[in-house]
Amino acid sequence: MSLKNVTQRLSQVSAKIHKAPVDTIEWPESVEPSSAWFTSPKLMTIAGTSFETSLNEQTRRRLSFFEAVNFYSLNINGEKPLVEGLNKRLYAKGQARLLPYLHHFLDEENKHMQFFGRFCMSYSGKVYKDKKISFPRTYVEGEEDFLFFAKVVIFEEIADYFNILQAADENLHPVARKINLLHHQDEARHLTFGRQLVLELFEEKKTVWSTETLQGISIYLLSYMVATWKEYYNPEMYRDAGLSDSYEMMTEAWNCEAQKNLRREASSKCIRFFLDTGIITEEPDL
Amino acid sequence: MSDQDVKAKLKKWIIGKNPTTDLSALSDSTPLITQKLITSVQMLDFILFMESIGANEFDPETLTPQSFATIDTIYQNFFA
Repeated sequence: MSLKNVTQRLSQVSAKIHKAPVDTIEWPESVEPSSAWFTSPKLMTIAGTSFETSLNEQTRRRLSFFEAVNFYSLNINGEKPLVEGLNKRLYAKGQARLLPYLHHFLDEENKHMQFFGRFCMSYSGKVYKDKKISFPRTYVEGEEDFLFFAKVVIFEEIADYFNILQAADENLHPVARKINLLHHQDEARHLTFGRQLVLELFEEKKTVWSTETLQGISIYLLSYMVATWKEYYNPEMYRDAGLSDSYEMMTEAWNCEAQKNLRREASSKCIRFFLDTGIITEEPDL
Repeated sequence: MSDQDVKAKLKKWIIGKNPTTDLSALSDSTPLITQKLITSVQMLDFILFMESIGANEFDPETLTPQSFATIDTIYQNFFA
């Protein structure tokens, strides 16, 4: 028996024993990208831009499919290091109080990647690659853990804004709607945990860390918010939707006032939390 | 686009991202990462910019901070 057959067989047995969210979705054999909305029109990167009026509905629907593939890809690309980071913290010194929930968190993030990945691989044949690169750096005591969980909150708050609205959008393709619903149901708990943990870690350390460290954290997280949003404007999705001038589209979409308002609105809860706690000292330039 | 044009565009992007730093001496061999002229959170933006000015196709999974050490390194790795 080949390794491929073995993994298929073992996956079937595991799926039978442990009912996973991915198995609660009715997956069609194939989908036609231009046949439905896969991203809510008002949440697409072309909302409020000249492309919204210049492109016909079929093309916009097709783009909505690739915007969904990009949204699911960036979630996978965000959840991979998250799983890695959570794993590293399991049974680590000083993390005992988090242990019971870390197991659930880790388990649920893995399950998210299953349904995001299945959509991407089954219907587009790929997951868009992660273009973020981490540089090795040094941290003061407690800073690495704090930044890890603070970035998780930022990433998940933004994604959850999309999840909530898209789970409720009756015009969305049923698979896309269900994926957003399933993700939101878990993320709501992850965010409650994440916000509380970030707050506690910051309260513990803010009087210990130097002004320079605190300023560095604020600058870093403000830049991270902008970088997180940039991923939503992936030129590859415009190209895959058959649109030329993908970089011009990205630039116009990013600079469009309506899109800036969308980013501010979608990030407002997150920004308010980080401002109120004093973790960031100004609004990000979204 | 000539190599000088590409390098000039790369320099312009870096200068634009560091408005409070005096970069009049920025050269093709200035260490960009160690001098924090490009930070990890700017990398996605920088990669998108490189692609928009005609960088060769590359696999993001193979990239390391060293791939972006200097303007010369970036040119050699992504445009030559």
